[in-house]
Amino acid sequence: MKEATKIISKVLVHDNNADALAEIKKICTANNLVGLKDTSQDINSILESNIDMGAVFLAEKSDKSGESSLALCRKIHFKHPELPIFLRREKSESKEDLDPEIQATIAGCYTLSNITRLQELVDQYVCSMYYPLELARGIQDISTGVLGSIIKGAEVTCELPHLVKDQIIYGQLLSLIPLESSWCRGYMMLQVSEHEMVKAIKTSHTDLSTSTPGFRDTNAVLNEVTNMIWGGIKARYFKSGSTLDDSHRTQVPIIVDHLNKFISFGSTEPQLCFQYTLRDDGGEIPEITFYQRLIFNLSWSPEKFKESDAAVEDFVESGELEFF
Amino acid sequence: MAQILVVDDSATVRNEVSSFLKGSGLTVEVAVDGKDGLTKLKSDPSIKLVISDVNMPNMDGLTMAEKIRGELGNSAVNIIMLTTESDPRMKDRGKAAGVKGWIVKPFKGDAVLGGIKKMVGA
Repeated sequence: MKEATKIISKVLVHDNNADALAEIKKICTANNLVGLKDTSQDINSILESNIDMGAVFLAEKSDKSGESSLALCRKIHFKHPELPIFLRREKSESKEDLDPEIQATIAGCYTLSNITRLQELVDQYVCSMYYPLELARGIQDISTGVLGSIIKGAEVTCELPHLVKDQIIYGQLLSLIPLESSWCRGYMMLQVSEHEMVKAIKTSHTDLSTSTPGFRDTNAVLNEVTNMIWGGIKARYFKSGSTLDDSHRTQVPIIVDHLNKFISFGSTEPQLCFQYTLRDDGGEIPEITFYQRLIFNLSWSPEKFKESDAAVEDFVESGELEFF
Repeated sequence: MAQILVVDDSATVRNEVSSFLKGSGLTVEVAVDGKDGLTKLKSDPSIKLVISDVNMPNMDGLTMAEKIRGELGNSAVNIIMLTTESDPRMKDRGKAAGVKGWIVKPFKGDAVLGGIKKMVGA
């Protein structure tokens, strides 16, 4: 199903073998993966960064810095246990002969002599969840419009939607709102940095009128952005009469680890992620980045989404007063 | 003393709507949720119109509308919902509660000012 989507996923490639890099590049191209080649050899800084990733490609041989790949597996898995690690080995596609502790950190092994094994791993771990392109485009349209209307005077741009497996919390502000319909159940999460929002409020780029904004003001703006996007998604994609009865309302705990800036929804399936950048030509506010993730951790039936495509046609006219 | 009560849990919406209405020569009171809205309405008999969000903590806007007509026995005040919701079942519930109009956010002041002024007799 992945051929129907242009949704991308970023993967970290830590491999110096030219032949391997050529094969990995082919796999990336075929699967809408953006390979981030770790040229610095300093994988730690990349792991510490806020780059959303879908997988890590490692080679069994020690890297240029001399760090053993198995030590790297341990390090990556400790930092981001949700990221699948694909280990290129010289001879064996099996991980059975590796230390059991290392085995647990690796999603799978492959060799250059059988690159189809790597494709299988990508299918299984990175492209395991299909997101309709129409849904991704629609969410992007709705969100871009809402951000532009609430943070005034800023141009909103959005990168290509991408799939992520990591569960990093970006910035200081985070909102969560449930998304529920007959074909999906999960959450929308929005993340942003507080100081950028403070500056936007202070310089009158929002509807709040305060010269000394505090965290409650930034929370209020994020609240309204979240509410408006949620409403837009609901009106456009969740058909009336398609709500679930109580017997379908299962729940799982959401774990927030403030110390490690990590959030878990219980599912390790790839999440649909958008990154919006707001730029003010006048230079009054710094660039503001909003990270939006859709996590359908409770239920996901995209085949039913197709049935509800007609809902798009009934686009609700907003802003008008409808008299009863 | 105000002509219009704006009920919304979002400070940005409260500010946006009330600033627009005040700028159009109307007097405005604000409330942060349905419960607060009921209290403010009870204490100010001059309010002619309530503009309320639907999804709010403590008490949602439709429950507030039902209580305005039921518990308060106030059938005179006009009620408009300003919300991201467009579900016909919610609108039906609003109609049954005596809601007079429905605006799907975002708020576009110029598009609705005429209707609002009529409702407050301005």
